[in-house]
Amino acid sequence: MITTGAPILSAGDWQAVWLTLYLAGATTLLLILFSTPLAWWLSRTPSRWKNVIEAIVAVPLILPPTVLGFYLLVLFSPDHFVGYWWLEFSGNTLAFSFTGILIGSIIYSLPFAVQPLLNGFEQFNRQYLEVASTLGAKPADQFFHLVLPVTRSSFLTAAGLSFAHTIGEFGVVLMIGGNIPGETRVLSIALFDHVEVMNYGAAHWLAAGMLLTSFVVLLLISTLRPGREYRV
Amino acid sequence: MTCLTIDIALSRPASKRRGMFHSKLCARFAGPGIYGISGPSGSGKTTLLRCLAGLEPSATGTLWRDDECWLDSSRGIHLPPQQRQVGLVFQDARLFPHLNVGDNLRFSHRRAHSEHSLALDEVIDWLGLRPLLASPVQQLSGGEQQRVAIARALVNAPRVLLMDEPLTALDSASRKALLPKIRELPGRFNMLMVYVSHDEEQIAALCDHVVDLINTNGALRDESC
Repeated sequence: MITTGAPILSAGDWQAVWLTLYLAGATTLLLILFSTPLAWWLSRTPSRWKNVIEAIVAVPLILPPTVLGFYLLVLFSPDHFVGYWWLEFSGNTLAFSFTGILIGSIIYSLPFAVQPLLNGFEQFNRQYLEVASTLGAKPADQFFHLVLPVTRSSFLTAAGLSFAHTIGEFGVVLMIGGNIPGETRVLSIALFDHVEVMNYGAAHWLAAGMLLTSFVVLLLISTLRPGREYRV
Repeated sequence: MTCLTIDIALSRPASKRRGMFHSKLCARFAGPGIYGISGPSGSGKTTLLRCLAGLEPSATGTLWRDDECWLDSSRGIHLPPQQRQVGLVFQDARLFPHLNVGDNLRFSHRRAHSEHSLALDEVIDWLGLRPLLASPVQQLSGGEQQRVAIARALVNAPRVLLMDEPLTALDSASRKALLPKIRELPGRFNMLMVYVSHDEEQIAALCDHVVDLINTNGALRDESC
């Protein structure tokens, strides 16, 4: 019961809110940058590796996040050459750091960015590119002025799903990030903490906030999507 | 005056039943004027136009526009479509779906080679497109779409304009309306045009010179060199 005038969400909770939004924003941005060329390549390659790569990209969909977190934790350890190299390079360990959970989030949400982009690129009519090239448009010009605007709803879906999915991740962060305020203590972890100490008031606020955010993101995706008129 | 000197061939697997598909054209087109290429459907007319435009990377032989080499497979020269200054009007108009009529034309005009660029307004008025400029391309009739496609190719100021059955998908009324415009085009814009159709009547009505491609065993031959 709420009986005092003290704020329900502590400064630490708000810190978790901003950290989560920052993590989700950075993950989304990097995922779009990384997934666009990958999905474009997948959509046009005749390579027999296509199916293998697609399967690898889709693995985080069904893999328990703790499994992914476990392998990343092993990889990030200074005993492993990846973790060692990073420690030498940056002076910090990857495990239990913001960079660490950022890398984890990117891998964890990869299929949510690649899949919608791949669908969009596969439906994109390649014949438009031929027209554009006879009009003098070079490949980069074609991409930014033709492919991107025509498939923009796929980019919207990819960005929205990556953002919402990152907000919702728990297992990966728990395994590799721990619970360091301002560094790795994201909302889902903060919620777990509140429930553990029976602080249901704050837990309700965080849970409802995350539920609402997820709903709004999905609503935005379906509202902002243009109709089917582009599928000529 | 623009002159195309063509000696090209293309072979590729067609279907399991027909084996290899061969296209070959050896000709010299000097403009302005309309050169027609006729032949039955499936004889490789479209493929030949695509070779001229630079859209078929496996084309072999030589192709010159005046003294500019577009293709010489023995020397490994294959100029990409962007550098050929060719316009290609397809059977389906292929207007960009995210742009309205005016923006489709501006997309092309902005990328035109400036030294002999055509006035956008002149082309718009000549093809009667002014009332349509703000329309989404999805709302256009077939004839209107093809007029926009021709205008889009024209305002890019190509040296050579290639047309691949531009009237075939249209109803007879739109076809009758557009035919005289196409006839008038080379003289008005001082352009060399290559026009492909399976319709002998259309070719006869439009073209100053005709190359007839005879289809034998899937092989296309023309010895007009």
